[in-house]
Amino acid sequence: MFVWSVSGLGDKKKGTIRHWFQAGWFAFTNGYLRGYTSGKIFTGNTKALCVPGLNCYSCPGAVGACPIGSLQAVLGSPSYKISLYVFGFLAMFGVLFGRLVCGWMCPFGLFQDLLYKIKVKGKKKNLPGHKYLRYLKYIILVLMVIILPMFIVNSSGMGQPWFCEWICPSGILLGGIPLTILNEGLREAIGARFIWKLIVLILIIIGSIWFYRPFCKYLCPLGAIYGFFNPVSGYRLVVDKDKCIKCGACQKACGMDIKTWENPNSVECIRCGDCMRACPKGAIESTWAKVRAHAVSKCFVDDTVIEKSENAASKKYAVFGALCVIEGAVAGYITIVSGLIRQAMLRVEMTVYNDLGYYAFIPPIMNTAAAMIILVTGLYVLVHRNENFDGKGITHKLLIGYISFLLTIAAYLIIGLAGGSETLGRCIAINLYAVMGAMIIMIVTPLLMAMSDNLRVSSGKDETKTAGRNQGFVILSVICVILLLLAVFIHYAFNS
Amino acid sequence: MKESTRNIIMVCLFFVSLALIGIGIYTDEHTAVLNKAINVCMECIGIG
Repeated sequence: MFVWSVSGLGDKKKGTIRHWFQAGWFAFTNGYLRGYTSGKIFTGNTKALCVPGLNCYSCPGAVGACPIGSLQAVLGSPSYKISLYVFGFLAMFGVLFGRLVCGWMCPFGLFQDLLYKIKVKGKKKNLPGHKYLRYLKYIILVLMVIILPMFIVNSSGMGQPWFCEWICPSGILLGGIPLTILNEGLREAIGARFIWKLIVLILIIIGSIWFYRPFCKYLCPLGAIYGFFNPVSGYRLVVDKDKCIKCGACQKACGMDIKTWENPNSVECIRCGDCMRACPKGAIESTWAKVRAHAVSKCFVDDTVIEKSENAASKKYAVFGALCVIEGAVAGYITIVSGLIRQAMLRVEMTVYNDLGYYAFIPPIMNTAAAMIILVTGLYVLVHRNENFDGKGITHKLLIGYISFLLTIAAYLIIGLAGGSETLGRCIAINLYAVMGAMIIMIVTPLLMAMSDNLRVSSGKDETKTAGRNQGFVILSVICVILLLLAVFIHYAFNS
Repeated sequence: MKESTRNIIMVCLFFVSLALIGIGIYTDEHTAVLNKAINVCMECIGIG
């Protein structure tokens, strides 16, 4: 089993992973912590970007724009006849993910999932009249999101966001309630509309306890849009007809009540993965899992399969070597051009950097060294890929490169300690693009080290040690990604 | 529909979506979205 795959985890854990991802995504897209304490919403430039899910932009923590709210805002504007920008975002998310957004990235979807976990008697999947009610969301999409905002306008030619105004529960949950708690002025302005929206929210909450995701099934216009892309999106389900025995286990497990064996890419499917886990024959697979399995088979040795073909091993080394070359070349180019050359020019041309010492060159030099070591290692592997050489030596070479990168970080720390925060700030600012090169090395190199270890022909002597080290390298890479996301999150949280 | 056909449609739609976003930026539509998003939407939160 490949140590970085979740395929070895139990079914319950995989279902839990989805909820944790949903929670993490919510934290990422609503991470403006200061908004929750001050009662003021985020006003940064990232709000020009639409987030994939139904996430009210009046949520105090929201750092992006709601696509449905934005769509109504542009269609209701006198300046635009049609919204290409927002439709572009909707199409992009739809074509990449389809309704995977609903299952994994929508805050209100998470809210309903959690409500459905409350143990009560009489739980059902669908409301009575489900067969016809599910078309209601399309009527809401056409009427309240598109037609009414476009054509019912005031004297200034501006339309109202009808869906947001009268139905959207996300607005009252994520925006209305927190803002009215935090702002006395807004509290005093509460009127009939607030009460109406609160009633709608309460009805959806009650419905979500007894029925699975009623808002997603019957009311959500965003799900209606993404559903159109399900048959052609990047993430699709594929049913192996040879394995499928049409037992119906997938439909039984499916909260959206879809006959997955008949229609794996139904417009109603939110890609939760419950059908894949329920299938007794493993007949349902996602396109992403297929692509990942294909990539892994090219790059990694499966230790459950004895690699007999030398040609196959040579190909794996070729892929590994190419990845090292690409990483080293890209990181090296960015660091040399933006870190060294640009820094040297700016130091001469811009008075603010005139007095910046030569120590500012140390981090990009270390980073360039790291990139070059990785590049040369990749070239070495490509040249010698047909020889049966010791993969352990390759891992050590990459480790030397990674240590060089770690020395870059140490150099920044020393500069900050010795020179103070202003010096460190100027040093980082002048090297900003070189920092991107450092990030590439930070994240990719541990994965390459794990690959290199796996490519070693197993002697059977220290397999456990190799497997443990592999896991360590992959975990290191994952930690680097988390740290990067955390840094972005903190930036949003403490800056407006 | 064949998987290869779906993939072709997916790739074409992806580039179309990027083009739509690009045209939208060219017509300053992103500014309209930003202006709406950085002000509290009274209708959304049920006030007024």
